[in-house]
Amino acid sequence: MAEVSRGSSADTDDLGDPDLKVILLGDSAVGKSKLVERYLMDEYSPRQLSTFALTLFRKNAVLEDGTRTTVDFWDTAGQERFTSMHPSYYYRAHACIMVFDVTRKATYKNLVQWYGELRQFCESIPCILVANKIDVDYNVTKKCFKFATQHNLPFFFVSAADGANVVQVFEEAIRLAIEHKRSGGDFVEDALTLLDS
Amino acid sequence: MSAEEVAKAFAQHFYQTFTANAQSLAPLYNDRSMLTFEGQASVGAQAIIQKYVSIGKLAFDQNTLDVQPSVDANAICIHITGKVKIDSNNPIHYTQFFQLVASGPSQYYVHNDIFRLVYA
Repeated sequence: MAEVSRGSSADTDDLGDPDLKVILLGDSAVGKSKLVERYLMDEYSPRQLSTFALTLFRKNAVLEDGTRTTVDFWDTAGQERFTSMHPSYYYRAHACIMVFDVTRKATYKNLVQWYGELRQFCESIPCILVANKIDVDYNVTKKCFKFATQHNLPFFFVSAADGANVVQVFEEAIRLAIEHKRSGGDFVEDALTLLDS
Repeated sequence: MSAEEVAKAFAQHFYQTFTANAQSLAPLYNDRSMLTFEGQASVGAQAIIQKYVSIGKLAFDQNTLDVQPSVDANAICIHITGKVKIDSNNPIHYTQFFQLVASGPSQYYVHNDIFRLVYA
């Protein structure tokens, strides 16, 4: 697995295209923002693109083989509470971190909708499923969450509050995103883009 | 009161009430009112209030307000743009259109209400 250095911070003045785009999905208040903040600690440059209604966290990651890569983590502005995400949110994403809250069953049930919407826009990007807030009761990690096995998704128990597994999730997301990009990316999406242009 | 004054007073009241307690918006609507919120339609005061209550707390920052008379002096069209904040998230641009219709002297109800978030 590629080691991702957490030591470098982003260049705040240049908003060129990143090498990778990783999006976060899941119900309101499942802890998406908290997870990103926990992973990046102070080593990021948040930017608000108000026109996109999201917060974008850029991270310069250094891989095991020394190559540098820039990753944009896309976080919502809470609009998932009453509307579906705008297509631009999904556009050219390389990986997705889908989050639910183990203390609220509804957030697990709603994964069906989130996953459905994701696949509508990004047919083949890797998607990691994350069960957050395990710090509330660690016994929950003995439970089986079928959604991951049903859809063949990498699955992690995490806690944004105490940091358990957070770094692992993001490093895995970056690794899968790179793999996905190298393997040719999302063919269907690229084909559609060509047709549109 | 001019149409402009009615519109301004209405908008201020609407957003303050929405943020404080959406349930209290009920008197502004009646059975003929219609709301389209992010493409989802609700008809009648009860359904509209139910929709608004389900959305939860939003903080509005109104930016522009435009007013036009409708078919006659009994009705006013209002178009509003601004920013809305959901919980502690970053604000999102929104646009909202109302048609107020007089139900009596100096009394209006919301006949049409259309809300959209605005993305680039």
